[in-house]
Amino acid sequence: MVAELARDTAVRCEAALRDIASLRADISLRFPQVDEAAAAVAEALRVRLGAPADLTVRELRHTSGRGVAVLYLAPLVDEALLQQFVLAPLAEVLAEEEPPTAARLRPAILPNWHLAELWSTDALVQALLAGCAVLAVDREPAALSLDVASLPHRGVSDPKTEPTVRGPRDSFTEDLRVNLGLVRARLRSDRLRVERFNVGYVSHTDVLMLHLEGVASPDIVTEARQRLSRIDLDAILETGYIEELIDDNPLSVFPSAWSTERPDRVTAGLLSGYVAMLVEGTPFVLMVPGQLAAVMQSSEDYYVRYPQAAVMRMVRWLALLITSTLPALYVAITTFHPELLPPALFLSFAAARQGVPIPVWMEAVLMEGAFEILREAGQRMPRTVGQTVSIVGVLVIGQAAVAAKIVSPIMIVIVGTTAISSFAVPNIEFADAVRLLRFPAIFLAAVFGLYGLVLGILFVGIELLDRTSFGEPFVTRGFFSADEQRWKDVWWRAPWWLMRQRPALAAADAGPRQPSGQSPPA
Amino acid sequence: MIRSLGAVVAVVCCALLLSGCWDAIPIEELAYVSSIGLDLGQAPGTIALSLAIVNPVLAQAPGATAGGGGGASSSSQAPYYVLTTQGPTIGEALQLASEETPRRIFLGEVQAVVFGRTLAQQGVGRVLDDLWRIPEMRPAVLMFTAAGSAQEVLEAASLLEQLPHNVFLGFDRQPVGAAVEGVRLSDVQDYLTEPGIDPVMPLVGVDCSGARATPARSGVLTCSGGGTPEVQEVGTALFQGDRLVGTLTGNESEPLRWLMSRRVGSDVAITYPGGQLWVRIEQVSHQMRVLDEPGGLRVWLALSVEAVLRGIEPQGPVATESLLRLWQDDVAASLRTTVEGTLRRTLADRVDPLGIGWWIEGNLPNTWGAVRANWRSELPRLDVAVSVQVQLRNVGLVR
Repeated sequence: MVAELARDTAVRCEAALRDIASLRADISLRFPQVDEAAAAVAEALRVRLGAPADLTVRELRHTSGRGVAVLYLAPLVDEALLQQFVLAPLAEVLAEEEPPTAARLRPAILPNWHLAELWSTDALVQALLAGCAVLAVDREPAALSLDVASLPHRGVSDPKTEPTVRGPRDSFTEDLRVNLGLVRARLRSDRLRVERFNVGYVSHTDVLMLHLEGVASPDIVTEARQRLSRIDLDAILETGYIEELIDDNPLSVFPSAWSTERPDRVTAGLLSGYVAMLVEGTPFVLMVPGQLAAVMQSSEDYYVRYPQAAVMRMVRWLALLITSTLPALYVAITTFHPELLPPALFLSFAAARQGVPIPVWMEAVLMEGAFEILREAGQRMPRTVGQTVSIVGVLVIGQAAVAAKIVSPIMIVIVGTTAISSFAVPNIEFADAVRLLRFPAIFLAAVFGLYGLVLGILFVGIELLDRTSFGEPFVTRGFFSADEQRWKDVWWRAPWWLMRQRPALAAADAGPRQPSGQSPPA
Repeated sequence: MIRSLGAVVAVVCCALLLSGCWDAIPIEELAYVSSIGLDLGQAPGTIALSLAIVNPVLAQAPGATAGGGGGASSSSQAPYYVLTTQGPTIGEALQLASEETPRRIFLGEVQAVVFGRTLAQQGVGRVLDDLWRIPEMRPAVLMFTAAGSAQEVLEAASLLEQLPHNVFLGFDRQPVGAAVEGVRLSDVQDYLTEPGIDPVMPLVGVDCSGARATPARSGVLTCSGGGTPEVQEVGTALFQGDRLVGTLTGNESEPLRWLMSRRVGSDVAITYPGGQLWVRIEQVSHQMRVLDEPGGLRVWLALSVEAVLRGIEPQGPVATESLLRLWQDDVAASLRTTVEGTLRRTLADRVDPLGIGWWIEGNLPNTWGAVRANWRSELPRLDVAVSVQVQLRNVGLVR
């Protein structure tokens, strides 16, 4: 009891000391006549950060007695830069007879440097944590934050999840500035709007919201801004956090936004009226609103000639159908409706099933489950053991299971086809959702046959049609419109010169993408 | 989402009350019946039902032999066997058959039904009615008539095909053969319920290369004089309504095939004053008209034939245009004689395979009203006139 009381008192005292130190520093920043401002700021920051080992404090003093303090977190700054452009010129100023003031320091030390005047300890703490150096001078209002950040990051590399044969090879990194640069390099428009949000009351993660003024619908932009501002979470480590927090239907398996690591896709999305959300620390950019058409598009669709792109788009839709229904269809037909099979196929299926001890539906669940385990293991395991797992997968799940008559060879074909088809869906989150739905589909088919499968398809169809993202329908009218103009970038991909209009989600007054008559001369 | 999920659960629960939702029939527990044979049973009023039941594993195994118990190879097991049971109806015979096999008999994949000759002569209406009542039975199943017993046909082997249904499907697909195109169950149903057209079926028999076929036991057919029994198309079975009343030989069947089916492609030898021509009939289109004349009904049939010249005997000098015209006339005259002969033969048997009655019903309703009641007795009295136009192609060098 006493110990608890003592501990509680100690904690309270510590907090009070922290507050006092901060208050002292804040007063010294607002009242320049206060002596020892630099020391107060240094002390306040040291106390606020808990005197961390990586906090470097350089306290210097002029012959006049005026003190100067430079503070930074060593792992986050470029020390060579700091030495060359801050500390060395500062030493020169201090060597002069005149006492150092902010007015003298600015042109001498930091002529081209990004700097900001900060007036509170809270702001200084944030600046330090963002990789800035803090410069406080006695008898000077405000402290200066100098952007000498050199946050650890990797370079721009090939996209890992969205590779293409033809098209740009760069992808986003974890560095927000690099990511923004990749977009700006492609979109040199004065209409590109960038809004910064600081999300996460502990992590203080920078989130950038990008849209193209005049192209993105103002309603969507306002809604996105409001939803981002509403987020009150301790930390945002990936766009997935934001996606769930701004979703229209948070319980749905289908994604409400689409994410990409390709700058070209983000640029194309901005030009189509989407809003992009870039989060510090992740290479995945969130695009809202979510659209079924968008998750079935690949950036390469627009880089290859349109007949190939149109066929590939249709193949993708077929793959989506296969990956969502093939195992369930096999279960339904072999269990309830064998008369639907042509004689030769009937005999093949019947011969393959002879001697298999488990019912078809269990066989399907077992093999699909095994595939999911293999896939999960393949994603998590170190690359060095990848080959081993592949061999084990092929031998155990494939050959050995068939040889032991645990499963039929046809089921291996079904699972293989389904798995390959799932990878033809370009958006990985949407493909995951569809793959997940295979299991309820198998159960429905096992209990009710084709009736159950059709019921499941109807339910998913209703769910998709009912789904909205930022007020926009997930399945746009273009899918079912009798107007062929609306199909141009949905079921297939029309030639560029025919795609004059922007998607329906763009602002009403966005105007066409190109004037008419752009078709090449015959 | 939760509300719609609730709605789906409710619908699914309602589905549990539906009959048929629980009758799962796993594919591996079915006895796959490839073809059905129907003969008269030994007891009066009974039907002998022969089922060609396939063993899927043996049928899929590499190197599986042909034949229902197969004389084709003695080293391996045949991929199917013929199970024969007898009962007053097909349903009861099926019931008996299901007691003799551990698996559920599955008729959803039956591709062919063969009627034994004696049964066909007594009438197939009753068994067709039974077949039509089997929900699994496909309406597109092919119908054949056996020259002897249907069981014997199912038990016989084919040199190329392992399973009997493939033999029958082969007969249906091939552009050459002795019989008309296979008739579907649904067609026969239509023909039996409508006067004015009669069904004809391919007539199939077992060829033992001269030796007599002897069914030794169920599923095994051997030729007493050696050799391999083989199913062959031997002609066409003519039905008057549901009763077999006559047959046409292979040669007699050819004109019917030209008129009734897409299977043409027959080679014909034509004798002309200077020698012999061999032509292949490639395409035949025809028009039929019936004229109600004071002397009676007159059927006029105009055939337009495209044929390929395959050979000339004796080989002479290069043909001329006038010689070519003569050849065309000779071929036309020969074909006209053949077609008229076959038509007169079928009409004499009071069989109307071309649907002359249908044509009259559709185009001359008053006339049909007058002749409908005695249509069969009218058939032999019909005056048939055939005109043929021939175009010869691939005639070689022409001067």
